[in-house]
Amino acid sequence: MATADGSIRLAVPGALLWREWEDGCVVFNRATGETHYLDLFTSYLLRLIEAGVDGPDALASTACADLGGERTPLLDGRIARALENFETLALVERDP
Amino acid sequence: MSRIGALAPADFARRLRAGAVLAVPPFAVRVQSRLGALHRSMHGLYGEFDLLGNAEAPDFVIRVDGTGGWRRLLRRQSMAYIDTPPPYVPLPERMAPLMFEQALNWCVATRTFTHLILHAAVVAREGRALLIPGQSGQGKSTLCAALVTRGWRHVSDEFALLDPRSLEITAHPRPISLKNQSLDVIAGWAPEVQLSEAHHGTPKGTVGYVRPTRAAVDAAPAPVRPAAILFPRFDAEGEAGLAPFGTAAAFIALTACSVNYREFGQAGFVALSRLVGELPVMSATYPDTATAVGLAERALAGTAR
Repeated sequence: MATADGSIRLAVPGALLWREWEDGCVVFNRATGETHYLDLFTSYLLRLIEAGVDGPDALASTACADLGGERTPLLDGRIARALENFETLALVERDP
Repeated sequence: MSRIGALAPADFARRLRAGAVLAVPPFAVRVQSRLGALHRSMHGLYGEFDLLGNAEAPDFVIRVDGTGGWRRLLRRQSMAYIDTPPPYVPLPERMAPLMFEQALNWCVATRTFTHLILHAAVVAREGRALLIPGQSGQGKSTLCAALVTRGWRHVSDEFALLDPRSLEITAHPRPISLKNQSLDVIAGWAPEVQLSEAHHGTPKGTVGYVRPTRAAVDAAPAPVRPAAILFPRFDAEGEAGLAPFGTAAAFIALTACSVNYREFGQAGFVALSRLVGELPVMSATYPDTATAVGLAERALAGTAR
């Protein structure tokens, strides 16, 4: 389970194949053979992790900088839930 | 090779009792049955299809016969035997034609490894195909039958066999399965259509079939290229019309309609994302058959994008 101060990275670097459209995004995980539908914000977060943005704090700071706005508990909660889902889906893993 | 409809019914029945290989494009299907109900039905519904020589290696082997044991004394039933235990229950013997169609569907869905298979009807006009995806009961077969009776090419009713590289669809014309009110709808829409007898009391209600035409069977070797995707929605109260369908939503819907998407892995992902990315994708809401046919014609023309 991802925690607020954990280090997060893709479970298998280079494994994701992306298709992004106006109404959402799908990503194919070559490592598991699974396809996932992601909404725009969730896919944005996964893109950040793929680019090397490491950990919930860095994700929140980057999101605030990219999208504008203040860091809020609501934003932190959305990030935490997304990371939990990513980990459940074997898209990301925490460093041991 | 001989056309089934050209054979005398008794001759065809004799061949089915012994086992005969039918060309059900693109497959060769060996069928064996002692059941008169199946002999009569197939002679009509598959009248425009060809019998192949028995030396032809079949893709699938299906035997439809009565069930054994004491139950046959209480109720005469039919069962399809493939080479593994079939995943369905016996039906009354008079429903042997449904049992055969069910068994063939199962074979196509589970034993076709060359094509990405989608639950979809496919019809074409002037070489351009309309892909109509949908699970059973969503109206794709009714719309397919309505369009076919207005001159569209009947490419497939139940399954679209999609080549993941070329995105071409291999034709698989079969008797078009209609259920319940759809039988009356199509009989009223096209009185000239050749409908099978209605099978009442099936697990899906009343089921009947539209006989494929010779033109559909003759055209089967030619694949078609999909030009648009249309998700049908019958709604007697709703506002009729075409509406754009989200690309990501279409992708997800197509994966849900596919019976073997997972088996294709990355190739399936790439193929379906190309399909929804390259084609107009629409939903059609309609309260009646005439409106549905008009919307399908507009959809093929790509007017929603």
